[in-house]
Amino acid sequence: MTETNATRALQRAASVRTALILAVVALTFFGGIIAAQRLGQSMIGLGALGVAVIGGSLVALVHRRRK
Amino acid sequence: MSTPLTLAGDAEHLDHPQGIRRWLTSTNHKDIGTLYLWFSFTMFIVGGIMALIIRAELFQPGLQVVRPELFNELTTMHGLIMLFGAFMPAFVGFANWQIPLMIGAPDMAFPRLNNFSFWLLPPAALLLVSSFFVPGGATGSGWTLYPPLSVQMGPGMDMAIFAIHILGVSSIIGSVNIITTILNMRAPGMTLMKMPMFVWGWLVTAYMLILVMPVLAGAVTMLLTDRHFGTHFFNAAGGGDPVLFQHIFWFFGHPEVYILILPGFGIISQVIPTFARKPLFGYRSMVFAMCAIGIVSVVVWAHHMFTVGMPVAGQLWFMYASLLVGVPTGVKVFNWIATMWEGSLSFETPMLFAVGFIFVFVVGGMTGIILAIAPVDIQMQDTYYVVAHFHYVMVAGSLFAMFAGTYYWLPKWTGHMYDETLGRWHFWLSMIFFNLTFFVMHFLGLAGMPRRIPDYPLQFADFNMIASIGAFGFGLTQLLFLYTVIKCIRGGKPASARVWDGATGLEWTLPSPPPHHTFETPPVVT
Repeated sequence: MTETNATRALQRAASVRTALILAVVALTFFGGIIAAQRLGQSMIGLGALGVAVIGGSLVALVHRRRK
Repeated sequence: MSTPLTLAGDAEHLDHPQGIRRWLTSTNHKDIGTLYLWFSFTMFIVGGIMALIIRAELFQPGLQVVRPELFNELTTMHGLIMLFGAFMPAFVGFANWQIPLMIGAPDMAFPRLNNFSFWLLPPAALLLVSSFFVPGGATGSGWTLYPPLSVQMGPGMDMAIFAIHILGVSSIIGSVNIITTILNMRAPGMTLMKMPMFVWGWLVTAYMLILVMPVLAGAVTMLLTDRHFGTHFFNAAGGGDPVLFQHIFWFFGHPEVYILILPGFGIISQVIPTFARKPLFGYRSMVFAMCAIGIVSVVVWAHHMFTVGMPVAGQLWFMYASLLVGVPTGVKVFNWIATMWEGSLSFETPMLFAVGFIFVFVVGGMTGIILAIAPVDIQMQDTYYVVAHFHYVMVAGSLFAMFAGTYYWLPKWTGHMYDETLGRWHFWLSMIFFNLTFFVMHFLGLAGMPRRIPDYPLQFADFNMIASIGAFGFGLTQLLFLYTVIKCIRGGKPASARVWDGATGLEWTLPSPPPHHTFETPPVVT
């Protein structure tokens, strides 16, 4: 594999990872909002989602900062 | 994450098809950007025609042009089409054209996904527009789709729900693509804090879209199951809660306002330094202000719902949080003015639209501050004051920013200079007719005229007549814009690589128009 192709493959993998994380966030929100209403605990459901998103973002930021 | 790269796409991406195949199958960000921009302009005309029918009906009291049911359908579809069909795709068009050029990337991260997200739009638009012709007509529940009305409407409502699903999927895919491109494909040396403000605007916007579009999709899915599958999420008769829909809707709906304005802020932050021939004042504070607006925008939604009844503590929270948005927004306005201060200013059409944007956006922002105050809002709720406010933010805010961006980058896109005289005429006529249309609506609202009514008492007649004349003038002026753009595409004085002498950034290092493939070897940013 040439250096160009290797770089391209690495970048492609990084892009796919980023896209998958974002897609999971979107799907979680879509499923989460319906599940929260269905279970009748909307505040708890939304709160848990919020904490998950903010917590996840913080972990990602700290992880990136340490790199 | 910003590893350099020589070419983003796969082998077939190197292909450069011609004719109709170019537009149907293209994975090139410039072609897709062009498709987005033409699609959004077409939808802008469709939504605009609906607005003109509404204004024709409101020209004088009584029912002259349309029956009341059709009036409701037109107000609903005008809102949905303008937001989802015109404004959002237009900014995605700008993003497609400009983000790779501005960050030194060869294309978007996922070119084929990019093509797919565009081609989701026409069927969605077709669903929305064709819903006028099904039994019961299009949905007339207002663009907010509040139950119980939206649960009770005919098949037009289902078409609107499916259209929103498709548009939502397109937006989410587009946002994923944009975030991935920005995070992973920046040129070496371009750190986040060196990115152009337009790219920052889109990064924040794309994150917001990822967070709130699925919530809207969830809300309309629940609406659909209430309509057809016997659930009772929002149906009070079955123990559901219609107000719950309002909470969920506005959790999407309020950030949507910022989704439609942050890329506009980004455009204005590119245009003003160019024509002031000075670097942007307070770049870091501009970035933080954008992020702050994005964050605060998701905790203010219930200021749209003060009249449904909520505890005083809730009212206070949403009132103060809404007022807080004024702080980062004020920072941005201050910095734009500070950038112009003692600059070597010139007023070509993009700059005229940028300065016009600041003027009208501040008017819309100030009326927003007024409406954020709970006791005032309870008086103003659902009056023409609200209509005036959000049109000052949306039309004069987003649209003027888009016009500024179009005139700013059109020579780069086409390789020709546009007709400056026509551009100036477009600006001044737009400015005059826009204010003629919407400024008087403040007075109508303060006098108590409710929105979404086809007929009104005699005392509102004069201001309505003025607003209707202004609306037709504004609509016709946009034909001048279309003519100016087409004239520029067909020919004109050749544009140089750096079209504007004060312009900085990677896109201006490329020839005008840029070749089909750009930055195959990434530039190094110092």
